[in-house]
Amino acid sequence: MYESEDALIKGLVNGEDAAFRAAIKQYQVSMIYLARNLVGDKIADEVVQKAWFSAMKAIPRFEKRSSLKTWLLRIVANEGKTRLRKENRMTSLEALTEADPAFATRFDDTGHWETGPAQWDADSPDELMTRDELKACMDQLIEALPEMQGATLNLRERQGYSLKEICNILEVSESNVRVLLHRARTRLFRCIENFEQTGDCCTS
Amino acid sequence: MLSCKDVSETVTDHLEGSTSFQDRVALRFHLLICKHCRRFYQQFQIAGGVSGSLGDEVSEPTDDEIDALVRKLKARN
Ligand SMILES: [Zn+2]
Repeated sequence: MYESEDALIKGLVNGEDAAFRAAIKQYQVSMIYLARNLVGDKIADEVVQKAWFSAMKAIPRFEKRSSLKTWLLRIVANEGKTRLRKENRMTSLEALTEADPAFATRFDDTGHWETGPAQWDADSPDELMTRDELKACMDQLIEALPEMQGATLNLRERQGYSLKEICNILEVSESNVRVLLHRARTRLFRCIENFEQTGDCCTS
Repeated sequence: MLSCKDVSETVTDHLEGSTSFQDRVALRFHLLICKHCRRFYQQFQIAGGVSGSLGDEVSEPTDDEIDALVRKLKARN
């Protein structure tokens, strides 16, 4: 019914029911995914609802410097961060981006692998995730990731956003987005490797 | 010379295309001669990819849910 994003935005500004419905139908799922990463499943719906209220109040002033979806996700991120701060659950960006000895112990003095990475029993993410125990373990790990790491990983890997768009949504620098993404992937890597070698789920 | 440690630290930069031509050539060359890093680079990509299918699926909002939210939005504004 709204053929272009401009028409949809105009409908929202005019307070048309149909425009609200169309926007919710189109963007709600992505908004909830992001909110879940930031504040957890339990209060994600509430945060998204707050984001809709803020968005509808601000929509007359929306300048279209990004897509409507990116703009909405940025509002969700803001609501989520506000909520985390209020509950003192926000991990500082400095803590998340400071040097991480992830693989440091794996290299000799010349920077070569002491023991190379173990060969995994799968050639693709899908193949890896056919194993229920490992999948359950990964589910747990993702849930335990620090908010901003989890959100970055989700926006990049699940929703396919570019790094530039992610810094726009989460309001962090592009180099910090890269670090967050690298840390998150590194944790997944190490956890899978550990599982492949021991059959146990990593606990940290 | 690029070390294996360098590879482990810059893999995301490479995957995201944020490295220079020179860096990419150096990486290519390293991967050609180092089987550990070849494996690491490939598996690192697999590790990132698993997150796409994890967690509870969020389902599309039903018509009733959409109606309820629209009503709330209109009541507030
Ligand atoms: Zn190497």
